[in-house]
Amino acid sequence: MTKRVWIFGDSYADPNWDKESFEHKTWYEMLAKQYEYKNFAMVGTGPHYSMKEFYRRYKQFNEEDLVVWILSGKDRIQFHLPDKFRNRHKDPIQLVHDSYWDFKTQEMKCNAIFDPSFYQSHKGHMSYVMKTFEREVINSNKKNESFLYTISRIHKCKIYIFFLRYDDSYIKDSLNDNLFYICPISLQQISINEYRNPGEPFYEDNKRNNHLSEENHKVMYERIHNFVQGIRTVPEFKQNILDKPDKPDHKSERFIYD
Amino acid sequence: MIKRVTIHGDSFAEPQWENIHPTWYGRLKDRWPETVNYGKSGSGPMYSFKKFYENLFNYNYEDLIIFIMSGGSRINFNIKEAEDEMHQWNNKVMLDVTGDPYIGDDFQSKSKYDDWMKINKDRARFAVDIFHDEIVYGNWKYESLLYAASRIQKCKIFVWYLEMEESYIQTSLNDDHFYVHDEGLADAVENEYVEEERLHEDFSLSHDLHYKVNHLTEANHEVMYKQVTGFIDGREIPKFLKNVYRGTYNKDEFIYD
Repeated sequence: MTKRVWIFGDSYADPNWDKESFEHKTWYEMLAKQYEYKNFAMVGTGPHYSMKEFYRRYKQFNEEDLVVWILSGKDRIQFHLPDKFRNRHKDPIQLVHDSYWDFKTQEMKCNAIFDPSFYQSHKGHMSYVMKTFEREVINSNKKNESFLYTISRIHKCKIYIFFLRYDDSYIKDSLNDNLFYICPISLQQISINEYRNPGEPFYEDNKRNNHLSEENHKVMYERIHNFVQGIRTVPEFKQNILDKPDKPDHKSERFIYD
Repeated sequence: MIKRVTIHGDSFAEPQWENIHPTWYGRLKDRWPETVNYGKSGSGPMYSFKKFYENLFNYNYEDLIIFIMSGGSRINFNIKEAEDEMHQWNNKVMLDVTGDPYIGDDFQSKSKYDDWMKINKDRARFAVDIFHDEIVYGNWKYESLLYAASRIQKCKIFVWYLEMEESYIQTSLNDDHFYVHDEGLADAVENEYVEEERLHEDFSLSHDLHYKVNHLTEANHEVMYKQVTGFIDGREIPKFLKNVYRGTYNKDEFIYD
């Protein structure tokens, strides 16, 4: 019987992200009412960050544990940001947003709004990291989901995974059973499908709580709840329930999803 | 029915050793002519998995994949200058940035290496630092991917570890498609010596580098062959032979990798 829930992920599960702007209950708050609850999700992070939290804890998991994972962008690498470059607008999470590895040109690309002096001094180092570990980064979510799968076999805990992009999954829904479940729809797609007119390219200014409307927070909770309870019914995510995304308040080169 | 065999690993699988007696991989090739051996002395899983990632989606029920999982800390750095000594350079870089005493550092192009390190040491250290946790848990995640692949591709996967403590799964998930052998290869090498040799104060595994192939006696090559075929044929999987070899001392010989 499940007693505890552990959550790892990004903005789709972050309990602190813009919390005061919303009144409705979130999927993780609904879970928190039922179980002992720990949520390590943080906006803007990737599995490279979240796995560090997971590694510290997974050995204690057993049949009383439910682990919910948002496996977001594999290329969200948590580089160190030395103290001297940090301020209110520049932190290690922002660094993940404002820097990325261009797999085609084999270059570290940097958003101009981040500290140019930091890039000048660290771009070479960041590029070297990516050149060395590029193949591992590309395949990291294959390893992450496989690791979670074996943890579910060995520890007999329940593991529910959402992918930000379903194409990142190797396992997909092929190994789903009563201990392990990968949601066959990507969170990114669920967010887009809420709009009747999402626009192309899709962009929104994060006006929904964890990128989801209240209805789909409820669906997300129900899907996890049903998995835990062994209920075969899988409620569908709601579509076409909003008109179109709010225009962003300002032009930004930041990533669409965080 | 198995038609193809793919071998990944380090010096325990490297086919370029002097051919002084039959080898486990040679015996496998006799049985399955479509055997490809990517084994490379001094390499680690990060090197081996490059090939595995490329081929993953092509594997099916006709494939047997054999992995020798060596040290997870054998990082495959981005070093173009190393040429044929890539793995020696890799291990030396790791030694120099972490102080890991486990890894060997003997190779020819030492001065070229020193020049490279003057420019890149700090970058290499930064890389190891940023991926520290992924390196520590690397083999546990690699073996998990192998396990998942055996479920999805329906291929058969046989795994030896250099050191058993590098496995998290151990033998807990062994079945018809996936098998982790429960004896580490480093122990197998040591244990094949007769006890009085092992207990000798000058005993070192490096002494017999040029007197054995892939660090093991012919008898244990045969055991390795039978371990793999036992898994495939559903027969008993034998243990490594112990106390069967009397060493040949030569203190100047080099390490095993």
